[in-house]
Amino acid sequence: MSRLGYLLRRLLLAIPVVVFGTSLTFLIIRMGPIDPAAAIVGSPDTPSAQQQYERTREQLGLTKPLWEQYVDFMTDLLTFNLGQSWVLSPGTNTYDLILTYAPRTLWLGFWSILIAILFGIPLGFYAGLNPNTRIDYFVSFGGIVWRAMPNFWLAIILLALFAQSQQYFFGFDWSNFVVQSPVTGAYEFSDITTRDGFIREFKRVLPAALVLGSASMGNEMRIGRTAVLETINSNYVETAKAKGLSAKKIVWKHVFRNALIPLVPVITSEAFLLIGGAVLVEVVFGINGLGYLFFQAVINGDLPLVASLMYVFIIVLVGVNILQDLLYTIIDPRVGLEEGGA
Amino acid sequence: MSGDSIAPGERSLPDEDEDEGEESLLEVEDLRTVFYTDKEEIHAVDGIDFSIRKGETLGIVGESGSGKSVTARSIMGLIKSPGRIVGGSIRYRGEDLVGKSETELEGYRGGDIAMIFQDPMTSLNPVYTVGNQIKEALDLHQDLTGEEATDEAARLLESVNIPDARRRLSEYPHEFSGGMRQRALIAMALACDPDLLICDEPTTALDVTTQAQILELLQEIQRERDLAMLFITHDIGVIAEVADRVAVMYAGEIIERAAVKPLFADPKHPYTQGLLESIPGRNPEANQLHTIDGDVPTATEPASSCRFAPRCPAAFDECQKVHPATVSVDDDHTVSCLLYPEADSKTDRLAQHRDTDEVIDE
Repeated sequence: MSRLGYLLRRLLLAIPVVVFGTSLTFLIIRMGPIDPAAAIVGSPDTPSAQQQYERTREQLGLTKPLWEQYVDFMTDLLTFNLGQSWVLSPGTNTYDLILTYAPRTLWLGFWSILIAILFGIPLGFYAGLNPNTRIDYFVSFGGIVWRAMPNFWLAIILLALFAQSQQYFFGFDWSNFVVQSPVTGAYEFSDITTRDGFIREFKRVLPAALVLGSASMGNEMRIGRTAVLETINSNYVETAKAKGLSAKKIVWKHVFRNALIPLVPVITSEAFLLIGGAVLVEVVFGINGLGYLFFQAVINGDLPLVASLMYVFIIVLVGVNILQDLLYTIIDPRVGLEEGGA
Repeated sequence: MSGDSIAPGERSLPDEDEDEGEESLLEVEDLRTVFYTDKEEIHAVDGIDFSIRKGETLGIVGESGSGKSVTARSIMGLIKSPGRIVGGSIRYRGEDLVGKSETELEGYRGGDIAMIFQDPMTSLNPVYTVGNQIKEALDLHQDLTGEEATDEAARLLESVNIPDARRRLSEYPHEFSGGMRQRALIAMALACDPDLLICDEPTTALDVTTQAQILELLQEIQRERDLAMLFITHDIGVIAEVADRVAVMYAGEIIERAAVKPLFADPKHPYTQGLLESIPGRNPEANQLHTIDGDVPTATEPASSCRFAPRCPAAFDECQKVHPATVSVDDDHTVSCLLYPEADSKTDRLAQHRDTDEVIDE
């Protein structure tokens, strides 16, 4: 089967997963304790409030039979008719809300993944190539410590360090380093294409990205180290050596590509972590991103917004899964494109 | 084992003798490779000598753990920490490879000495095509790239009897069967254009039919290219088929060495005799297959006795106290055993073995 055929087949198989996930979402938010009408008009204590409450319920379509609600809910979501916010920002399209909040989370997620990859994998590979040296111990131990630090704690510590850098780093002023930038707050993308704008936003995202990427970076280091060690002791590396290849060529051609295979799921699983972890980090650093929006929508009972965000998250997760499988087929030819192997 | 095979004074040291004949391609002398672990040091190869001439096959035979593979890896410079070559010399065309740097050794690997390994299933890199890995060697050793390299790689695959070679080049190792992979590995070794080919149990992981085909292929290639071959195996039956001369290894030492015919016709060392008796079909009248009891001991210190003595049916008290020297018993036939030279009395023999660890001339 061709790679395109494989992709199409995976996409087709993803549909039931999305439907199931979305149905589960419906079940959870409708069966749960949230009463959206009460969230909008307050609890129905007085007869007039009771009247308004009933009216709101009818407007929201909550009086319809449950199966009808379910069908409406599913058709709307699956046709990407995401509706409007009820509570947080009544009357605003959830599309618009997501489009406002999403870039901040994407910016944060992008750098958390990239920083983790750029530091974690090279450090892990280096440690694996030089096992049982001082640097290896340093990297391995550091990886465990870095991995073990809880995000909420690390976020607060980094926030304190960066915000008061003059005090901790002998007068080094992080906020005014190169370009002036606040440590917290939502990102500003209007001038991101200019040099100063980019540096400012990079400086702002750095502490949060370090926190969010910390666990993945530790994982990548440790798994990268193990993978390199395992590969270097494999028979085919010995064969390559016996062929007369230089050590450099062996490492770059024969070791690294094989060592990347176990790292693929580690990297892609970060995307899952970022969605969950982003809420904490976004709250601490005051970034109004998707995580923050989701959290607010849930505690305020804004059901259409919750459902839409859940739907977006489900699609992202399924998409990342498919991407992971595609990456596998590119890096590792043994992962078949055929029925049996897929 | 008759005494009349000994002709005193006729033989000089084996090394000198070989210099008179055809030029030796590889000469290994007193090679010692030791692995240092926390608990003990393991003398995996403990002072072995042998030489290989151009176009000749030397078979090394021995049980698992006798140090055969370590010998091969020592020659290739592939001994990994905690192992180390601690003594002796490995002279390839007169150049001593022991003590050469990694970069210098890279120059010898492949192009001069190539190696085929035991496990074809894991010896090819799974993420590159077979063609890619053969062409890598062609680029390195024959400066062939692009279309030229592809043609040559296909030709090599054909020469190791892989049908439809051109299509096979673009396949991955997992699409090859075990026998095919070993053929591909042989093609890869040939792509290096070596003068000496080390085969470390190349047929052990294969089924018997495939085994026979691979052996035939190796012999054919050797004839065509006039390759020198070091053939390592635990299967003494295989040795009879491929080798010109044989060295029998036991616990890191070569205990008997001879041309293949005299060794099979008239084995001297009790261990070699035991090995030959344990080949099925050699004693058709026996109703049980002969075995040698026990295991190869792990040599943790330099030898001060005969390491085979605990398992030896012919052992006597002194075998536990005297390390046997190498004795010439016949033309190009040496053995390390206190039973030889047979012509001398036991006291004389023991005195000779005690006095010298060098070759005892007769």
